[in-house]
Amino acid sequence: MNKKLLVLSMAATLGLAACGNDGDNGSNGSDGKDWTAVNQWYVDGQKRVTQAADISINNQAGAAKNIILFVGDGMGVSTVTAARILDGQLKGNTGEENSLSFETLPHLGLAKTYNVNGQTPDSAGTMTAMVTGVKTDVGVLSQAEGVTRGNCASTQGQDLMTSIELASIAGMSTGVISTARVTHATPAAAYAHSPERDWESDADLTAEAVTNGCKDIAAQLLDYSYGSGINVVMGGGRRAFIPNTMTDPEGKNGKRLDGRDLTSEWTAKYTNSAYVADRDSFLALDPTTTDHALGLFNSSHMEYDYDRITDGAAGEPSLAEMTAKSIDILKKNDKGFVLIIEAGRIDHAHHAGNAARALHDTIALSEAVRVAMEKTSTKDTLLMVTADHSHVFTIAGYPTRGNPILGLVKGNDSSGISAVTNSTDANGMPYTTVGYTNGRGYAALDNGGDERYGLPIAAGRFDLNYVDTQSAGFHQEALVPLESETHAGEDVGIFASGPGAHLVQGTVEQNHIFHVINHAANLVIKAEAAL
Amino acid sequence: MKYSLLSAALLVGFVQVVSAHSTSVLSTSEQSTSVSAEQAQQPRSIEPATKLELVCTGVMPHQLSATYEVSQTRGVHVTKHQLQLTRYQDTAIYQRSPQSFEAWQHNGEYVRYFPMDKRSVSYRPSDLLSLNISYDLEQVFHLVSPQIRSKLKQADNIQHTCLTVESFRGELKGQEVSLQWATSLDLPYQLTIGQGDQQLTYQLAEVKPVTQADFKALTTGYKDIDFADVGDSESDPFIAKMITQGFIQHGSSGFYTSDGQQITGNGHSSHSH
Ligand SMILES: [Zn+2]
Repeated sequence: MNKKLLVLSMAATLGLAACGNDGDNGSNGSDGKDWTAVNQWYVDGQKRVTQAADISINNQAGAAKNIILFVGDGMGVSTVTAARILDGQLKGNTGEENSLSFETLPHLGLAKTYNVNGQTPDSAGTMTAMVTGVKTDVGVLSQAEGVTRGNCASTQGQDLMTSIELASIAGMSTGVISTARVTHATPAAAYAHSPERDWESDADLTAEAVTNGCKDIAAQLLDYSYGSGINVVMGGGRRAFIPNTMTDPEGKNGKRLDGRDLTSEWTAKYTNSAYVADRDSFLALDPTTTDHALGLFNSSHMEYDYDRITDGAAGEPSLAEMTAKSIDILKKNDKGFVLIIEAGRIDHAHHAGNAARALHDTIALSEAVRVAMEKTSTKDTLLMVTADHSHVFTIAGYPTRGNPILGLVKGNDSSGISAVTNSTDANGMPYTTVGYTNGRGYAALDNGGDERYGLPIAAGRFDLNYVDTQSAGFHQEALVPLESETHAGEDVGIFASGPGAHLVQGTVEQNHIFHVINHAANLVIKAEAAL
Repeated sequence: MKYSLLSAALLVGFVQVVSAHSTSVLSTSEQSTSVSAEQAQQPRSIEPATKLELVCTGVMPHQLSATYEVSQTRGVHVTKHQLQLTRYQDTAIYQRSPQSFEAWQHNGEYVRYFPMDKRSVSYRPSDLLSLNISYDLEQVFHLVSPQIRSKLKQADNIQHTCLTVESFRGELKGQEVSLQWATSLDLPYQLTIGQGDQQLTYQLAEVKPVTQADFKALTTGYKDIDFADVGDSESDPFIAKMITQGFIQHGSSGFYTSDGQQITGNGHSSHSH
């Protein structure tokens, strides 16, 4: 209950004499005027201000040796809030007071996420903004708005330099990690240039693309020729790297039609290199002797963290484990590194209308950021955590404090005490706190039962009285029936610490993120000096 | 409540089965090698028809295509449709309508095929979990899971020159279940589930062997997309169409014709009163 958090006299810790009714019992004293005699909320708030006042700002260009940019794909503000509460509740607390790791970073701004041609954006356009400093069209990877999506001929002169490319030229180490396919829009924008995000392997190229010389995204990763090359690439997406005649250790065929095995090309191309395909070989990877690591842990996207297994051919490392190993490989370079890490499957779980998996993947991102915070210093590392866009995911109703975030709403009674029964809608039916404005809606498979399967789209209200809405398979209700829940257009947070982090302030265009990084690490100037 | 029958093989213990709709004869159901058991339907009246000899000589349980007549009775209201189950090695394919069919693999992967668009959508086990979709692969491959069978009482076997049909009977979740199990096919010969005046019957009508070439012809040439990527593919015309039509299954009946017209639950041509 909330009471225990509210009523904590600070008299003892402050060394004040506890006497009379001057407020040391947690209220403002009998005359109501002793505003210095306060409760825990007051003290905590005061402490946070003191901390903020103590933050030193390093405005010097190039003060950041290292850059780490985390992107939670689809991690809008409501997702951060709900994940924070779920994380706290999984630890046995009420939840609302909890903080995800990155919520403790000192600087925060909001990013306007729209694409050049889209009020609500996609990951290709948004990541291009973050890694190149230039906004572009939906579906386009690190090429400017002059291109026509899917048209290779239109890409002449439209390529944009990315922060990863600049860092490589400057002699820094670089890494790209994702729980999605590494050829998927967000990671791909870091190293590839394409008028179509779907051109992940050569099998996806159109005849026009082939005729006009456009290359698929996986091939571009291998052809990357800046500096010492990309040092670490980890995630899913094995199928775009191996031929369609080749079967991977999980029994899946590749997609490539050109017969190339890009995994063996990777180890042939680089000295001190490694290719790993499961968690066991990932763990065996020695960062002190590895300078170029390619890890492809799934044929397609890696599993949701909630479903992830760790052993055998299908075993996958966590995002936190990939983050730790990557930093260990990259930090050997005295010139520093740029590392981009995507939690790519928050987006997919939301599209499926499955809040539990979206929130668990957000918590996995929080753990990865915690690892990065532990392994680096705010003195020389600019750490940023943001999202590419939001989702139509809401936290609604008047649930009482500590009400399970994935549960049915139980409100407070007229005296402010937690109600015993569920809150109900106008038709007398209970409802969940979290839900979606559109999408597939409730999965009409209330009690499971292994005789039943089916894929209904079911918008609107359902009787949830006998439904375990907190089960990870629960499929939240939606208003507008769509095959897939959609992205949302509101702003997303940018959390930051380290040199240059203070430049994250106010509501900014999303491409601002590149310019903060560029200022903090002096990427363009360093790259020009190296040429 | 809405239930999709597109993928519901057999809903044991589940009375309110929505009418499934089949608007055309399934494409591969009339080949010369096929065996018709249509005239030998009533339990205990199976004739040792010479046609059934083919079942013994030409059909292997992991390479077959079985056609079932599915009829559902609610009082005087009878709904009929056809189900074709194709089993080839690790894959089981269910065809109920010309608009789409579905394939299950032993590793838990599930693919929905849309023949008119030559497109398919692949779901992996975690996708199905995220959709709160549970399934029993044994049931998918055999229509009736061994677990269900083990809960029934075995009655007399019906022995043929070439086909043994085991007879089971019992009550499951308050419903009378009667099962005639064709052991060499690893499939039901006949299955009836009922309660009161409601009854659901699966009757094997035809079975034929499936070659690797047959199987390949059924599933190749489709442009596939992961279910996880559907949400980011709204600019794909097929996905855009599916978003509008809800993959042929949202709305009150859950079924659409090829041009997007919703097929309503009542007055459908396959109903007889
Ligand atoms: Zn998305």
